[in-house]
Amino acid sequence: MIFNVNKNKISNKATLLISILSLTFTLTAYSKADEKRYKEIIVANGGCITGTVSFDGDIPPTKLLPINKDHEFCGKEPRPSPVLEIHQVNKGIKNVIVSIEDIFEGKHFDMSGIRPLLDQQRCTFIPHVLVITAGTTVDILNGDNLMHNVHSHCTKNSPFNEGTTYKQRLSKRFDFEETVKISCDVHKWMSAWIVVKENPYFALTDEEGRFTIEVVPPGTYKLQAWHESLGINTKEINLGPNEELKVNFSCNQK
Amino acid sequence: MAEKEEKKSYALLYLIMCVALIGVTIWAIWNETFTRRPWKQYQGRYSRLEEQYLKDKYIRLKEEFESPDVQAEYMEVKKHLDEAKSSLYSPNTKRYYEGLLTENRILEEKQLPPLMFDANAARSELLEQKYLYSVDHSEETLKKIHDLEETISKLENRIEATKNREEELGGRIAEVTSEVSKHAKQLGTFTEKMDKVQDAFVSVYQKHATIQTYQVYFEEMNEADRCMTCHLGINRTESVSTEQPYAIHPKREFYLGAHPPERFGCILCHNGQGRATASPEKAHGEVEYWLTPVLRGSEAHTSCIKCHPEESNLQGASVASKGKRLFKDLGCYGCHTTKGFEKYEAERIAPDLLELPHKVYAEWLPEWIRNTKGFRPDTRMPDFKFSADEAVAIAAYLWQNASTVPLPLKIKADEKGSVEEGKALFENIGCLACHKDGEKGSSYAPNLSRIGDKVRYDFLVNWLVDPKIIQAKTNMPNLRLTDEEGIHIATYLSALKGSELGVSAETVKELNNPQKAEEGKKLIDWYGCFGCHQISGTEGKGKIGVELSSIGSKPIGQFDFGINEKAILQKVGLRFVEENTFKARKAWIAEKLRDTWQFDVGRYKTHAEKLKMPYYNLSPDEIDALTVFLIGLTDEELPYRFWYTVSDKKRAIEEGRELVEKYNCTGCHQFTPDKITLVDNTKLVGVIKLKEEDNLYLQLWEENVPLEKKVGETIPVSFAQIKEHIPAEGGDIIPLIRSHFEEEGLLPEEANVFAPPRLYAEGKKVQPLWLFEFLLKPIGLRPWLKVRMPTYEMSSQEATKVAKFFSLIENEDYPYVDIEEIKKEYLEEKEKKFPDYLAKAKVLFEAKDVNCGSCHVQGSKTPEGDPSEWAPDLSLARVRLRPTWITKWLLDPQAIEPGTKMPRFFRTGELQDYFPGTPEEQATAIKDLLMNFSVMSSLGELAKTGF
Repeated sequence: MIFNVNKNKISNKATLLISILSLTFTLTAYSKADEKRYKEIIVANGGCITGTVSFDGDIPPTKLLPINKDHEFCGKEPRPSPVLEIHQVNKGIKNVIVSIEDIFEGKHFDMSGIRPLLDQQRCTFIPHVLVITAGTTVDILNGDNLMHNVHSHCTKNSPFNEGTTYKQRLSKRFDFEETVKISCDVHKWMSAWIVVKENPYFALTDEEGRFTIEVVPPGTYKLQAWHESLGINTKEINLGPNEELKVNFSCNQK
Repeated sequence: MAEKEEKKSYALLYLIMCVALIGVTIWAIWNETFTRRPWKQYQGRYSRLEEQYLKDKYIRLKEEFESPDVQAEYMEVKKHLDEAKSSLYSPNTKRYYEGLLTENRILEEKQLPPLMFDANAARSELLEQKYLYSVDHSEETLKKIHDLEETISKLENRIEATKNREEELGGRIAEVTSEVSKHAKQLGTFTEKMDKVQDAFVSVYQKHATIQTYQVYFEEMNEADRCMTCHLGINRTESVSTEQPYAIHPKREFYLGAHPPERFGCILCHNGQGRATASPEKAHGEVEYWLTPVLRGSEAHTSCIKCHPEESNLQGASVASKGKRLFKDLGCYGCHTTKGFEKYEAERIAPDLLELPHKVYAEWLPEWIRNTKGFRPDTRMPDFKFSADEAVAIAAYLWQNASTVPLPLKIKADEKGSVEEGKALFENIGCLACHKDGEKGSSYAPNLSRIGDKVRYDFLVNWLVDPKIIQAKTNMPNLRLTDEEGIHIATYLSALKGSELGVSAETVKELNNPQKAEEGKKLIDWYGCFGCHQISGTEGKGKIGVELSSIGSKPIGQFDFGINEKAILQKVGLRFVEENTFKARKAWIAEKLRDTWQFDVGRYKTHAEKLKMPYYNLSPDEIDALTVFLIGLTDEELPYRFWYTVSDKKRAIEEGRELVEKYNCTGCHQFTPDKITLVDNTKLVGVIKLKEEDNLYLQLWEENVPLEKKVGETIPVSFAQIKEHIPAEGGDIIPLIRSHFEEEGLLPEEANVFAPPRLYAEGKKVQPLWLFEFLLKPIGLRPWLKVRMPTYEMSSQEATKVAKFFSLIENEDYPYVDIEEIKKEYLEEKEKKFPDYLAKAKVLFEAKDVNCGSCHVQGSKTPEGDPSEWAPDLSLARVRLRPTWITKWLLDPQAIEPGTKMPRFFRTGELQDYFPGTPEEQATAIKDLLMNFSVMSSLGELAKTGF
C-alpha cells in the first residue's frame, strides 16, 4: 500500500525506526526511482566534512521587523529579522543547511524518540530553522499567553493551520522531503522553516557559520548549502576514507 | 403449302418453356429465400459467433472451476454435503424423516381431499337451500340452512387443522434436511454460471435464422426501422464480437440506456434507409439520390441536438455541441439567419464602430482592416483579404461617419502615469483573466499585446475607469478603478506596441476624403460589416448571407462546387454528388469553411457574383465541429414524443451556466476540482499541488474512505496509477496570480492565498439573496486580495439566474434560507443545555486563545495591524453565509479552502474554560453568535457595508 504512511502513529522509539523503514519501503512501491531511496548500511572508513558558510561582501544592515499588534506580549520595539544573521567578526552565516543531496546509502540515523520542538516565545518561532528527516513528528508549542496560529505552507506534506493556545502542544508529522515555511497569520512578522530531508547527512550552521557532517562513506558528492534568502550553493566534493575534509562556502545576496 | 396444324410438333417449344418455367421457379424461390433476405446470413453468422463466444466462456469457466483452488473448495463443500446426507440417512434420523414424509403424504392425499369435497358439496347445497327459502319461506328450509352452516363451519375447522399440521410437518422436514439443502445450494453456486452458459448455448444452437425482420415502426412519421435485423448485438449487455454488424453499441449504457432502441430505433440518430433490408448499402442509404445516408461516429452527434436543443453542453455529443458553440461565438448568425439563434441577434458580437475617431489612431484603422490577423493573430475578426485601397475606403467611411455626439470622456488625461505601477495593477487586479498580454492570459477578450498601437491614451483611461458609459453593451466590466489607477494602467497599455504599422501620412489623409468614403460604403454594404458591428448609415439592413436553418436538407444540386468538384469529391471517395448526398454536402461545407473563396477560382465572375464570406482561419477540429453541427440543421422535425423535456431545474442551471460563460466567471474562479480515477478505480477529488517527474501531489477536497484519507490531506499519486484525469474547470488566472506573487518572493503556497476564491460548492456556502445583491453591487470582502471582483452591471434578472445556478447545482434551498438560529425556540432550547448561551459564545469568541477580532473586521470595529492582514467582516456572516457552512468551516477551514489563513481552533478537550463542550458544540455556538450578530452589535453597522 502506498498510502499507509500516515496510518502509523509513532509512540515510542522502536516504532519510529520501523515507520521510517516502512516509509522507505512504501515509497518504493510507486516510484520508478527505487534505487534512489536512502538505505542504511554500516559505514566503514567514514570521513567527515566541516567548514564555514560565510558572507561575501559588506555585511548588510540588519533588517528590522515592525511589531504592529499585541504589544502587550510581543513588545513594541521593532526587532531584528532572524532571516539573515551574519557574525560580525568572521561573517559566518547562521541557519544555513549544509547537506549532501545525492547520497543513497550511509549511516544509521537514530532520531528515534526525539521529537524536535518548535516553540513560540514572545511572538517569535524558536528555532527559526529546524531540520528533520522524513517521518519525524515535530511538537509545536505556544509559550505566549495569546493566540498564535501555526500555518504550514506545504505542497507534498499535508498542510495544516491550527490556532494554538497558551502552553499547548500540537504534534505534526512530516513524511516527504520538502522545505516548509511556517508562518503565523495573526502576527505577520513571525516565520520559521521546517526542512525535511531524506537522508541524515545534513548540518545546520551555528552563529559563526560552522558546520560538521560526520560518518560519510568515501565518495564523490554534491554538497549543498541552503539559506532561506540567499538561496542554494552547491559544491562537488571528493571524500577519501577517514578523511576530514574542509569545505567553505561563501554566499552573497543575488 | 402450310403443314397441317395437327401434324406440327410443339415438343421443343414446350420443352423450352418447361425448362424456362422450372428455371424461373427455382430463381423465384432462391431470390425470395436468399437474395432478398441477406439478413438470414447475418443472423446465421451471429448465431455461430454467439455459439463460439459461449463455448469460449464455458471453457474459461470450466478451467476456472477445475483449477486446484476451486476444486479443493468444491470438494470441501461436497464432503460436507455427503456428510449431511449420510447423517440424514442414519437409521434413527431416517426413520424419523420417513415418518414425517409418510404422515405428510397421508394428510395431503388421503385426508384433505375428502374434507374439501364435503365442504364444497355442503356449500353448494347451502346455496340451493338459500334459494328455496326465498321462494317458500318455510321453517323447514330455514332449519336446513342452519344445519348446513354448522356442518360447513365444522368442516372448515377440520380443514384448517389439517393444513396447520401439514405446515408443521413441512417445517420439520425442512429442519431435518436443512444441512443437506444448504450444502447442495452452496455446491450449486460453483457450477451455476456454467449451467447458465450451457442453457444459453442450447437455446442459441436450436435457433435458426428466420425470414422475419425486426422492426420498430414510427407511426406518425410512417417510417419503419429494421436495422436491428442485422445489427443483432447492438443492445446486448455482453459483446459477442467486435465484427460488424454484430458489435455492441459504443458506450451502450450511456447512449442506449437513455434511448432504448425498441422505442427510438436507430434511424432517428443515424439516418439511413430504415425499411431497406436488401443490402447493407441500401439499408444504410448509401445509394444514389437517397437523401439521408447513414451518419457514422461523431457525425451522429448532430442528431442529439434535434431533441436536445436547449442544452449547450450535451454529454456524448461533444462534437456537435462544440460546433454549436463555435457557431454562436463566431457570430455566424450575424450574416446567416438561423433558427434557434434569434435570441442572440439583438446584441452584435463585435464592438460598435460609432466612436472610432475618438478611440483609435488614424494610421491603425486602414492597416487593421487590410490585415486583421497580421496585427493580432488570435483575433475573432475574420480576414476579408481586402486590398490596401479597399481597406482605406472602408476606413474612410467609418472615420467620417462616427457619431456626432461627443463621448463622455470625463477624466482629463493630459499626463501619463507610471508604467511600473500600471503593470503591477494590470497583472494582479485581474485583467489577465480575460485578456492576453503576449502569451500570458486568456483569449476570452481581445489580445492586448499591441493595444498601444491602436487605442488613444485618453480614450483608454476613460474606458478603463467606466467602460459602460462609453459602450453600454460591452462585456468589459467596471473594475471600480480610481482615476489614478486608470491612468497607470492606461500608461502601461499604451506602451504595449509592436512593429511599425507602415501607413503613410497620405493614406491617413485619405480617411477624410468623401469620395473614398462613398467607395467604402459600397464595400460595407456588400460585405455586410453591419452583421457584427454597429455602423451609422447601415441601420435596418438585412443579412447578407444565405439562411442556414435547413442547410442539412438543401438539395445537393444547389451546392456550387466550382471547377474543383471532382477533386473535392474524390477526397471523400465519391465520383459524383448524387452518389452519397450526405458525404457530398459534408465535404462542401468543410471545404467552404476551410477555403471560402475556392469555388470562384478559375471562373469568370463579376464583382457582384463573387463569394463574400471572409476567412476565419479555423483549425481542422473546428471545421469538423462546425460541419457536424451544420449538417444537422434540417427541416425534418421529429415527433414531440422523442424530445427531451428539460426540467425547470435543469433549465435554470443551463441559463445560469450560460451567464457564467458570458461573464467569463471561470477566468478567475475555479468551479470544479481535479478529478482523478486510478487504475484500481479509486476516485480522488482534490487540487493538484505539485507535479514531479513520476508523480503528483493531490490535496483532497473530498474524503476518501477506501484510502482512509480525510479532506485536506495530501497524497502522492504516481502517473502510472492514473487511469483518467478530468482537470479542474476555471481559475484560469490563478497560475498567473501565483507566479506574480512568487516573483515577489513568496512560496507557491503563500502565493495561493492571493488567488481569487474558488467557487467549488459555493451554493453550500452563501445565501442566494446575498449573492444576488453581491452580483449587482460587489464589495471587497477579502482585504488582502489584490485581484478585484468587477462590477458587471448585470440586470437583476441575470443576477437572479446566477444566484439560482449556484444554489441549484448544490441542491440547496433557493431563494429563502431558513435561519432557525435567530428564532426564540431554538435559542431557548440551547439555553437549557448551556445557560447564558450567547453570552458564553461571546466569551469564546473574544477569548484570547481564539480572539476572532484579532484578524476579522466586525462592522466598524477593525483589528490592529495593516488592513491587508485583516480577514472578512463578520458582521456580514448573518446575511451572507449559510449557517451549516459556518459550522463546517470553523471545524476545519483547510478542508474547505486549502491554504486558507483561517486556522482551526476547536479540538477535543480544549477551550473548556470559555465554553465547555465538544468541538462541534463550540463551533455551533460561534455560528449561532454570528447569526445573531447584528442583534448583538448594532444594525447600523451593516448599513455602512452596503446592506
